[in-house]
Amino acid sequence: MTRNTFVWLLIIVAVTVVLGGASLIVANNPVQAAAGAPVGFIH
Amino acid sequence: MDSQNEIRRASWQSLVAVALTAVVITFNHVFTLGSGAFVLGATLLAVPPALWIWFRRTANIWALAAYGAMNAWIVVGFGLIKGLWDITLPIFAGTFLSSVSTAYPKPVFGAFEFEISGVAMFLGSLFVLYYGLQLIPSRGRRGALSSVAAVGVTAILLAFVALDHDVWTPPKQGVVKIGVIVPTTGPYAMLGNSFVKAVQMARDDLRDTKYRYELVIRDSGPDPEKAKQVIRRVVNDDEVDAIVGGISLIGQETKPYATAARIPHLCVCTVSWIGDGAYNFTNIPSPEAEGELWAREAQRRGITRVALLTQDYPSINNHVKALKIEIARLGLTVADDQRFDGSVRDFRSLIRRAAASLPDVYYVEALEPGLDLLGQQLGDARIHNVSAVVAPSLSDNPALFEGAWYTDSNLKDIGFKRRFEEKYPDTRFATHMMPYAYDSVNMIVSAFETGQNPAVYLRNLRSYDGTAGLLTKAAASGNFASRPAVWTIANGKPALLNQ
Repeated sequence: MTRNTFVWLLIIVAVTVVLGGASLIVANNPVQAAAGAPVGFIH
Repeated sequence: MDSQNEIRRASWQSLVAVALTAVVITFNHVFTLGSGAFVLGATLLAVPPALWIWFRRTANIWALAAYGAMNAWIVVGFGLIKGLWDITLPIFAGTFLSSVSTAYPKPVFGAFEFEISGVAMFLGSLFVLYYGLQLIPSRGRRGALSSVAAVGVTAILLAFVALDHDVWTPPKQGVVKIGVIVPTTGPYAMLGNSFVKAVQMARDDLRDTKYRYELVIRDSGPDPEKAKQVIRRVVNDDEVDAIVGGISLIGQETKPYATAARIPHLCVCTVSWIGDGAYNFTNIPSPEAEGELWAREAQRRGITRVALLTQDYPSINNHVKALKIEIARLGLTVADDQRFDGSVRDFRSLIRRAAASLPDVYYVEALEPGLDLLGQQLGDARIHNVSAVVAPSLSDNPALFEGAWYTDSNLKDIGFKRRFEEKYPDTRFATHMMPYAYDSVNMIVSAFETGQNPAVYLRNLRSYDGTAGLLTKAAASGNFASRPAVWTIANGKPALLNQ
């Protein structure tokens, strides 16, 4: 494995970890900006 | 020659990084700009290569400078400000900080695709920055700029930790301004006007407070779009320190403004997602709590068969949905289930069908004018074993539901209603919502009187004993839960049966 390949492998792993981590946090967060407009609710 | 090849390769990599990041930026901005995002995307995809080709052909220094400016726009504007500050830091640092201290608000996220593309936008901008720096011939200068970028990102992280923290600021000149935003005109006028009076009564009942409390009362109107202007003025121009609101339709519009201003918003709303536990909190029994109490009371009365006659309307449908779950849980039977449109005025055939199912009780819910027409026609059919959630208290003529039992807001302090009616003899006391409006003001007052940031105070508050009884909130929740009560219509007026 060349140094260049190794560096790219590290970058791919880092990007995957960041995007995967963000996906897990956002998907599991109960606080959403909106969860469907309550059109017509009286109270 | 080697240097030339190196720059040529770096320029190719820079252009690819810019193009890929431009695609991510376009996708992310579809959520905020709509189709306008494609104009932005086309600009970001077309202009940088054009500038680079211009530079390669003419060696014009202005072309190179413009290419650098485009890169800087992508890195700073989309990568650092939007991607890192607005999206990536709240996801990672905001979530972590709020999990270790309530002084930090839980971040509120938008659509999943918006958030993740925002993170990708930041990551893409790092590639744009890296390959952009490769175009600078001097290794020493490149190293210095890389160091500046690393220090810059670290400084941004530290700034986020410092600025995301909610701190206590004493009110200006000792005056706390509480915005009161409810519709007092249109179909919600009865509830809204009663709500405003309950809030005024809470303010008038204050004694020996450290600060002076001013109410900024504004009619939001029933239209959510028009309400936005009113809410914006209350938050930005009146500069209120907290908001008490009612009606979910308006509360959902108030929520983002309260979050942006970082002020607490207590909403007497049944839509639970409005209460995010950061700056927005709801305060009223949930449809589930109403359904649970209703089914338990029905069982206590020996009821086994229920006929449902309900209008097709979101909040009513929510009650019915929760009710059916509880009915099934307690082994009761839905003997008949009819949902009608709001335009129906003749209920006789519906009543006949329901009667044929031989129910022990008729569960009815509708809005006016259908509600009173249904009540009248049930009476004409000599049907008086009627029940509901909330509905009779919203009737224009409660006497039509004489003897009916129903669940509604609790009133631990029954004297509250008496004092209200003495103080405001011309305003009808709408049991629904009022004790929660009164208690919401007092919760905000308690926050300021104890010298705490009011949003942090509400995040930490786990229980509150007020006119509506004991309100409780789970840790990190934005919903104050409370037990409703069973009411009846006696002598044409709502009367509390038990607690």
